[in-house]
Amino acid sequence: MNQTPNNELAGATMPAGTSAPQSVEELPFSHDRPTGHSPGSKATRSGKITIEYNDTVVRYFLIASVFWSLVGMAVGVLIATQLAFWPANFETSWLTFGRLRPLHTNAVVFAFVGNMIFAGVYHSTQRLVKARLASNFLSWFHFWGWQGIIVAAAITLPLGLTRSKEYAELIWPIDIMVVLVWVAFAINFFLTLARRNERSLYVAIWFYIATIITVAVLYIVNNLQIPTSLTHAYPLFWGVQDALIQWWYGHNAVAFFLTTPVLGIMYYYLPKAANRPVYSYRLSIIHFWSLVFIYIWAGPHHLLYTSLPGWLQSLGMLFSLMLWAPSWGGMLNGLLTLRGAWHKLRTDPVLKFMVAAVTFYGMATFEGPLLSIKTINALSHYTDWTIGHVHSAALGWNGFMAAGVFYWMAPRLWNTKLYSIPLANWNFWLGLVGILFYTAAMWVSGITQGIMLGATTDGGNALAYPNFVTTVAAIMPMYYLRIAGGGLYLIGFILFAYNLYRTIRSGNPVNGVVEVPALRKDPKEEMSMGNALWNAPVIYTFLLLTLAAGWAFGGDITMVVSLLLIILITLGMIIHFKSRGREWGKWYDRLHSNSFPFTVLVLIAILIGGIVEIVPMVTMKRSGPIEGVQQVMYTPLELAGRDLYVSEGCYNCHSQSIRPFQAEVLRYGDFSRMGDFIYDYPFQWGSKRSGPDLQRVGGKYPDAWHYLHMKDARATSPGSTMPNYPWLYTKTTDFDVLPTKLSVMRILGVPYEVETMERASELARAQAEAIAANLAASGVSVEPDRQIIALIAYLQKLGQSTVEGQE
Amino acid sequence: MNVLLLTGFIGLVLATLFVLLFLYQIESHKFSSNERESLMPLQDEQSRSAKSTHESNAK
Repeated sequence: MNQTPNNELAGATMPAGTSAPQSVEELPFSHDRPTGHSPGSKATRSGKITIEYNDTVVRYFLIASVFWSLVGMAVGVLIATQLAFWPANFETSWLTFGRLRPLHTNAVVFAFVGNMIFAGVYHSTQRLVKARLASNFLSWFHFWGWQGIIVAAAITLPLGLTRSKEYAELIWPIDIMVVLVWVAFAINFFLTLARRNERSLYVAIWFYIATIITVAVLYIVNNLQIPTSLTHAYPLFWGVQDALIQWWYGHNAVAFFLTTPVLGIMYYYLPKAANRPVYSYRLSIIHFWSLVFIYIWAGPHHLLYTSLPGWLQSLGMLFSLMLWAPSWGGMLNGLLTLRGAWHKLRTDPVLKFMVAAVTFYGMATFEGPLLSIKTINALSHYTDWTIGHVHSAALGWNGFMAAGVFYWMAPRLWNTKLYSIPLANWNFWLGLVGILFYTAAMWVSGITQGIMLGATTDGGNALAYPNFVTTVAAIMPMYYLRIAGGGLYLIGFILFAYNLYRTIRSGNPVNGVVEVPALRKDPKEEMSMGNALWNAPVIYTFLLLTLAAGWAFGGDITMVVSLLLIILITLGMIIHFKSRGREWGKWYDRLHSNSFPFTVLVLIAILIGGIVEIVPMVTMKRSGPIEGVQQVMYTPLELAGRDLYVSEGCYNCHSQSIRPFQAEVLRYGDFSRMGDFIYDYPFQWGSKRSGPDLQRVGGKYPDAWHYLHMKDARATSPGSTMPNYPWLYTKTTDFDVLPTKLSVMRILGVPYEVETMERASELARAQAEAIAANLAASGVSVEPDRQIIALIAYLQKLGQSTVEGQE
Repeated sequence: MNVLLLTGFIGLVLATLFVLLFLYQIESHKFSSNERESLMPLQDEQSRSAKSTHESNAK
């Protein structure tokens, strides 16, 4: 048995073969177990138990994370190249940008960072609660299930099987797999907490709890859908509802998958690597509760200036700005943990990565609220500025934290030294320079294109750059720089993988072992749900939130009364705190020892924002026009074309939402209204304009123009970077599935006649023949059943709404 | 001599205070604090070969 002192720097662990001071195998076993026993633990006569952690599954997650990081980043560099050199799409369906971009995002978010999170959560949780993972079966089910999901995603996404919701593209059977695996993770985690031998829950555990329950809520709601086949489904929500729910999910996937678990990991591994406790434990309490409560409200900042109601946009912006405070509280708490240990940065690559990661977290969480300010968002949205923002967070915060944690973890999990510190330093500097190239290029590109697209002349009556392609050409040098930046980062990670590989090869796998006093149940420490909820701090919080809602949304009298009551109750609360503050502190300390009430309070905190924002929208009726505008239903062929548009991932480059700005109205047509999207399942508003908006493209060009454009975009738009889609001219549209699709649409509330549904295939063929005849008149010969015909039908339908008072 | 008495007195007061606070702590069953909890990640551990564990599990 070997000893591995955890507080040593990476690469300075005990050599293999060193004897430990005490052999746990020799400890006598006692059947008189107190409480808190878990698999892998042995009790001694002295009342202490010896626990051997399940580090095997941690090692598997670590290796999987490193492997998928290379895959995800390589695909990232490829699609960055495709944006600069369109032939890099290879005229191959499964290698086209629209299909590979979701693969890139899913691979880095769920495969690379996901596996890193699971490694970190399982490794640190066992040590923080002094218990082995509750179930070996669930641990392995989690590991192999998650890898199965990733492989399924890597196959289906390039095949064009997608839901088109960013970071939630996976089709419904894989969604079910995700839910099953996540539930297994949750059970394994909470059972481990239940069997713990440490009464209090450390701050990292709070963040893990918030992650597990919030991701479950987000994922299930955003993936509510009705299948039409094994590989296709329509979401439950239409247009603006779907957009709100998607970005409530999308933003909080960033918050609760890429941020909160990594913050938990920071709170464990940064003190560990610096060998000193976190700067302020009290600050971490404020950091935690304010972050989880505020984050969930911020989703609508992805939909500013769309047809989403103004009050929701304002809430999204306001809460995003409020996020500055807790985010920076967390960043400062992390950085100040290094107090008195900054000199270690010179020699310790682990701390170097972690400190850079926390700094990027601070920069990204400064930039995020900045981009949420409506006037700034008017410029930045749909441009590369957002891409630069997310990559400074993903590469800087998540990527560097993963590198730091794994450089720390690998030598300890294999009882060896880090193979090469100089190689780790190369990894750091290549990565850092790569991120700076990348983000700087995207800032310049985004601001340049945003200004050019918004520029007008002639007193605002004409566009300064009417041709979209002109703006693409202007940012092309920045796209070359991005490839260089991304390439450098990828090279750094190849060194990272090689360094870890050599480290692993030089050691032998070991499991952590501790001997701890068994935790005995203490009734005085237990907290009932009633006590958790019916308590002064909680009651004050609810009262103040209710009154804040009255102040924000109420009429004149309600607003004034609410404000007065807020002032009075706040004063009363201060007085109450002065006299009973100690009791409140004791209550909160006990809450840290009771995981179930704690989890319920976290659930309530994250549900409030979601309920306030989503319920009014999903209960909205749309039986007639909304604000005088009503979308015209899609014909069966147009619906088939729409599903092709979704499948090809056109939304990755083209938005379908025109903002109420003079330049946008001049360029794309009248700005979008809520009623324009009432039959859209799923919404296709997009988030980035690598090409122009398409919401009102219908009728703008003849059918033959679209036919040529999809075949070779350069033929109609010289200088375009759009890929060619030759397979649309050979593959056939599936007409037979249309009655089923229309029947699902009817269930969703789209008022198709029964006859239309039953004759859907026949009607689609008839319309396809009409379009083919129209093309033939233009000198283009094509069979009516080709996919391009359905796609043209859809594109020509876009923006066709009826407006009250207009013919 | 007065100094010795004063020192003894203060010492007794401090010792009594310590005992009272200690008993209060035991009675209130509160053995933790934010400061103590913040030290939780720093605890050391030993390690055991994963292969030997695997072999013993197999037996």
